[in-house]
Amino acid sequence: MDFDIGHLLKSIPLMLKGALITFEISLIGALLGIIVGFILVLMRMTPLKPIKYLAEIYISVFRGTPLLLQIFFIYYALPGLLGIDLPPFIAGVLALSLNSGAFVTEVLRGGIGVIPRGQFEGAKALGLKRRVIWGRIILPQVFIMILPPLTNELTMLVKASPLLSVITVVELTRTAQQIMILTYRPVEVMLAAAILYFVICFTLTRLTYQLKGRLVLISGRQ
Amino acid sequence: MDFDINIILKYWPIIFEGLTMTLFICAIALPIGLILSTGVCVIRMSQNRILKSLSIAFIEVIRNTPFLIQVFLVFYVLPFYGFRMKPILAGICCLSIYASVYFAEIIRGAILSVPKHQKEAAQALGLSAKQIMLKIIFPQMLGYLIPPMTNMGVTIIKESSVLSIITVAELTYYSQFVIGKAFAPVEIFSLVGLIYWIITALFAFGMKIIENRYTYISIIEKANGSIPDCA
Repeated sequence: MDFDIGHLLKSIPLMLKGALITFEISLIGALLGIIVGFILVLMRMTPLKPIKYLAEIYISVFRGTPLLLQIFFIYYALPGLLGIDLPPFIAGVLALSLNSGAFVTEVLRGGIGVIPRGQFEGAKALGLKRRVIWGRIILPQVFIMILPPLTNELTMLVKASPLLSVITVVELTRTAQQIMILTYRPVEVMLAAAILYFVICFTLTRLTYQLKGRLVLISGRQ
Repeated sequence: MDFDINIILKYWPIIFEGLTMTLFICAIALPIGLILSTGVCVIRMSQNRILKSLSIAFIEVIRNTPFLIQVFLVFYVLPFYGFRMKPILAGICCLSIYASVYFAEIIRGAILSVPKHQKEAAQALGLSAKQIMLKIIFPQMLGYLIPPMTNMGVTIIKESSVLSIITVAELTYYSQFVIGKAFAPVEIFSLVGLIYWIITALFAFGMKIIENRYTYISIIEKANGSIPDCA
């Protein structure tokens, strides 16, 4: 089969639209994932044993089963269990964020772990409230520390998002498949999709390295 | 909605067939990936500039594109260039290559983690390159090698579910097949999730045993009760 660059170029505008949706999905997934991850960190820090175990089981299950299966479960099984109807987009983003949360929680825990104890003690000695200690002293430092791993997580989500095409979310992969069905030029279309994914992910990985470099400059540690 | 255990009992043979296929794919793809990865790693660390940049390009391309897209490229695009493969073969190829790249970077990281003066001291003592690698570097790098390898192995086992999309008859594929027959997504997906969870847990457990048995760090840790400062 001959390679037709015209087809590749013609598919670009639609593909870019798909890429934008892919990025959107990943970004929302990452942001919600941070929230889920933070809740899990809090659950693991409580002295209440049952809540702690619940968080551990959640993390173990979401890290130990394939994302594709989680997507299927949330899209096909959850509506029956809860009696609500989930559109593909919401089900997909939900699956991504719940999955991402299980991974982000380790990052967050690691980030909180590297904050010296003196910071807590110093803030307490100054008579600051818990809310102020966490909101103004600990979390801003944690956030800077975990920025590189979080960008990495965003890259992971961009790479995981094609799975949503299976439950008919029209993102980049689904767009590529639709164009492929119309034109029957899988070579050009699939390569175009691969290139777009590569550009997004490669940019994000470079950004991660940059941030890591900056971080070493700011905090003076690796 | 109630949980119907009978459906699980009834369709268990089909699910079991998928399970054996998943185990089969992983049992082939993981070792092949490991073998390929040593090759990729050797080229990546070689002095030859062309080979080195080629391997870097290969690693970056595989690492920065989604696995599903790679599978599609192999399964839909390669046939146009004369490589027609059965789904299962295409799947195993993709999974091995995907694994090899990540494994290669893990191995490289582990080799670089061993302090440089270990190699220099060995050279000063007149050990051959082979001896240095096998007797000095390799035993020490295991501590940096096995934990990320465990993680990656678990990821590969999970990624094998993606192959269901190109109709490889493995666990996830059969779970959808069964749900198509008996409309019971909750039961079947729970069961299949549990099976994956057990497989990955057993894999991680097995690797942990190997780690405890063979790594230098864990041996020292057992002796001293703390991790030595290797910096």
